[in-house]
Amino acid sequence: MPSVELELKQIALAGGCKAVGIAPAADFAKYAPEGYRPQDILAGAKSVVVFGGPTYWTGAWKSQSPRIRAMARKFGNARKALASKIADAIETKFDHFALPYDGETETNFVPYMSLKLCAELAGLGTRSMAAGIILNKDFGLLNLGAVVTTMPLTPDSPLSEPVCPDKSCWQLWQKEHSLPCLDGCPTCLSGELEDGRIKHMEYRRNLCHPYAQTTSTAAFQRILVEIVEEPDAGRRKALALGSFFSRVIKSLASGQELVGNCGDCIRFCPVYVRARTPKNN
Amino acid sequence: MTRGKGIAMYVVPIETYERYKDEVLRKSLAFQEFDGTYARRPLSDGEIAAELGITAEIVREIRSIAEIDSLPLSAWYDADQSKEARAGKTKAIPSRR
Repeated sequence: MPSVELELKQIALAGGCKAVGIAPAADFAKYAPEGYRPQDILAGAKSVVVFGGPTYWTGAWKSQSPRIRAMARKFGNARKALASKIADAIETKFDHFALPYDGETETNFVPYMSLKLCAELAGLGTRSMAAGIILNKDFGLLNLGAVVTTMPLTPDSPLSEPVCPDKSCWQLWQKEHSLPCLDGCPTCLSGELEDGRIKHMEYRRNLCHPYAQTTSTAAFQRILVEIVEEPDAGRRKALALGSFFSRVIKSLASGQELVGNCGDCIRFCPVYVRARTPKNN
Repeated sequence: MTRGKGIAMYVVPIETYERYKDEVLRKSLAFQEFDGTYARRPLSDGEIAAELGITAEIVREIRSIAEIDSLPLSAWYDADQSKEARAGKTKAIPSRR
């Protein structure tokens, strides 16, 4: 008879994720401030089941249009259904409280709990130079989901060796002091390697928004202020009825192009390129 | 910031916003640093408030505005155009190694 942990992981893998692990809720206190821990989401939380699937279809990266790539998300819808399946198993079969958590934000861009931290503590990957994105050695960029539960589960461990930098990146850094991620987005990223490891990485998230969420809520709010403040009637009409604002409204109404609009920092990451390139290509 | 007076409770005075916006943004999750140790993690609104001597509610409002207000509208247009330009001129995706 499989262990409870194995059974939950089998449900996750059968539901379409590629990697799954368990993080101990108590360990979040070492890294996350009060108010942003599993116990703040679900009172008495003991464990977090964390899973990740492929963010995009592999063909998305061969598209010449960043907008098409942004719309070619593979795991987004499955992720929520999978979280429900895992939570349902915990509630109905094992009789503990469970709550799916999909990275919802408390205010603006601050989440109730960091899914990056969840993934790290569950051993799904480690932080990368590419905006601190969690990099999985086999699957590269993961689209993450989680279920918080009061069920005590045997946790997995964080990885002992970092996935980033890849050996080839360290070689490139020694030769040119350059990295595919830093070259991909000098606007949002800076950092350096030392002794084959990340010495320092800085990700300026507010500068990333126009790239990663070009037509999302922040864009709507920014244009709205411009429209309201615009004294010229003709220009006001052009702002309100023009193609960009129309696209923003369509994005908000349909959920299309809301997130994942960029990816230039991860596009040429050798770990992710290896993970997403089909063998027959 | 006035509490219990409708929308006024969410409106931070512009002078307060201008005074603290850069510091709030710099200490918040808007700037994420990593050196392998998590010695310098971003602060929560409450933690920033304690450092600056203002309330967490004021910090939340300042941060919410500053996260969007820190860039002009042209940043969104420019981002859109630069992504399109880069996609069209991109180098080939490296082959499997």
